[in-house]
Amino acid sequence: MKSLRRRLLVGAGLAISLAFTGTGVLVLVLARAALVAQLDDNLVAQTVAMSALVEQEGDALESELGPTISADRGVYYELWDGAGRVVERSPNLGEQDLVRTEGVASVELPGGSAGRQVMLHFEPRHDEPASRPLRATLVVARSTEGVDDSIQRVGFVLVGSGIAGTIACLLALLALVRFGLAPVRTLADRIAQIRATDLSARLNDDATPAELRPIVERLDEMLARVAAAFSRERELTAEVAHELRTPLAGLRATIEVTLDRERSADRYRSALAECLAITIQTERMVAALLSLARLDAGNIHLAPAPIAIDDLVREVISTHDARVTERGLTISTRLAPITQMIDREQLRIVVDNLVDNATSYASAGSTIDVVLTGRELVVANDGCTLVPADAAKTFERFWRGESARTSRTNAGLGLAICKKIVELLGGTIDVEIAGGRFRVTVRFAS
Amino acid sequence: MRALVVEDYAPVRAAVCEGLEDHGFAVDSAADGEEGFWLADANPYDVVVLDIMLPKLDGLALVKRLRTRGSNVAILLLTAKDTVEDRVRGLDVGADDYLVKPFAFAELLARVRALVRRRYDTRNPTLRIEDLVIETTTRSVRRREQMIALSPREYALLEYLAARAGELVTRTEIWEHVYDFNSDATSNVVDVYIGYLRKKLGAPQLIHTRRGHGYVLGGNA
Repeated sequence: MKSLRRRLLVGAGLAISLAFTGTGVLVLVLARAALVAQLDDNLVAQTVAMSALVEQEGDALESELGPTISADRGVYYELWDGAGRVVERSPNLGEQDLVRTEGVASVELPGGSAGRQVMLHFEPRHDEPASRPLRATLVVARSTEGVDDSIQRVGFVLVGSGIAGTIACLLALLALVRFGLAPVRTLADRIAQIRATDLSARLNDDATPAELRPIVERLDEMLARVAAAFSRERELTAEVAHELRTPLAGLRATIEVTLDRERSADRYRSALAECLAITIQTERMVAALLSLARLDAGNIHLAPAPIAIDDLVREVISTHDARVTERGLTISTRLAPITQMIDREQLRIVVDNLVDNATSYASAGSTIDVVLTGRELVVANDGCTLVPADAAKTFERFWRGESARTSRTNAGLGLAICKKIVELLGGTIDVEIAGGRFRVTVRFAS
Repeated sequence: MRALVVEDYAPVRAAVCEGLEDHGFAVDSAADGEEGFWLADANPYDVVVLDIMLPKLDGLALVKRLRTRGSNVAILLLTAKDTVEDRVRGLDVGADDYLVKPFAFAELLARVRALVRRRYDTRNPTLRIEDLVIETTTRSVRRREQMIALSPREYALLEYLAARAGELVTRTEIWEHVYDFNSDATSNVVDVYIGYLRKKLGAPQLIHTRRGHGYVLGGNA
């Protein structure tokens, strides 16, 4: 699990220890430089002082360095005359030479330890005036071990306090993060309290921190959408229950009344036929509801292929021949040859519903017009008892015009299904009602 | 007793009509609210079985209109909606009872009979007129512990007279409460059936004639 707290703590811990380390190293470097500079100053002063212990006696150099300095084992020196001959070297050098480097420099001392040295060229003191004053070169070196020891001690102190400081900072940060993330926990608790049965709760209020507000607002929007979907679902379930109750009441009343006393075989037969008709109607409604539910869920696989729409329309119309004949209708077709990339099965359902509606509601003996031009399919019939304002309602589920409701051959779902499918296919569908004429126009996607 | 069934869904309408007829009711029916109102307004039904969702004029509006016109007919609402609000609204506009679809026909019948009893101010399903006993639930008739077999029409006539026992009942009233529009009845059919009944009920005479007015069941001649 990705933890914000862990991420914050690890990040902050790294940053803090890096800062402490950087500061520590800087302090150490500066401190060492200061200590070395001090050492150098002392070394220069000592070298000058030591040069005073070298005298010119006649044509030779006389040094009193040995007796004075040899006690200090930390000091190395070597004295050369003007001709570069070694006049004297400190006993701790043994047979080794110091390096003749001008000025102040770092040096490796015998035994391998690091040190600093100063080289001084000078004219030794002489009591009597000398005809030829001599030149001498003195190199004095001293180990820097003392400085390094001090620096190491300071380093230990810095590392110790750095670790302690980092831990203290992390603890403080832990408390801060816990405090800072408290609104997230509160939010989680409030979300946990939302029940599926009551989606009216909203999370956003004055106490919401600005950083969480975008999330909380999105959550609230989602809650509102879910609540709306739930309530639509509930309404639909109530409607479905209502729609199913009517045929059930028909079945039950018919069966109970028929069974109430002995009846003729003909009467039983007609009662069974009536029950069968009700059952078939109910079955149709359930099938329509199922396909609507699938359409709602977007659970339809579309397989577009080039379809000759005029042929499809002709084919669908032919399946309605029986009713057309029975009701004395005429279907007048004007179908332009149009081929379109479209899902054949879904388009067939749409056309079938439209033709079925037209043949059901057209007044007996009238003519139904089916016209296919360009990207438009129009199905129109007379005998419509609806008013123009009903046009939009015809797409609502279970909505039926009054005459249609009474016959109940139709569940009031056909146009709802058509609309869903046509939209799925990327087209539009419209209903116009004027002067008893019912006209549906389907426009295909271009 | 005469009933009106107003229901747009043909299978329910047909079954309820047939069932009520089987149980001695004279039944008329209507498939929409306007026709239902017209029938209920023009005829003295004992009970109206009324669907709420009707074309043209819905059941609740029909009840309201009937009550405004001063009708006291007993009304049983039928509906597929069964929320508390629906029931309350139905009763509040002036209906007497309420039945949710799908219903048991036996319950519809029992409720219709109860409404009829209330209309004639009786609560007892067993009617007694002197030594005559009528069980309205089983439609059996006894006199001095002797079962009397009646045709449906004769029973309907006797039940109506019994509901109004001791009162003067006119021929027109009998006509209106015992016959529906499908009856192929001639004007003297009431007298003919009164004759049949008198014969079956035997002596002493229970149905008395008020010449020029009508008939009285029970009481003194």
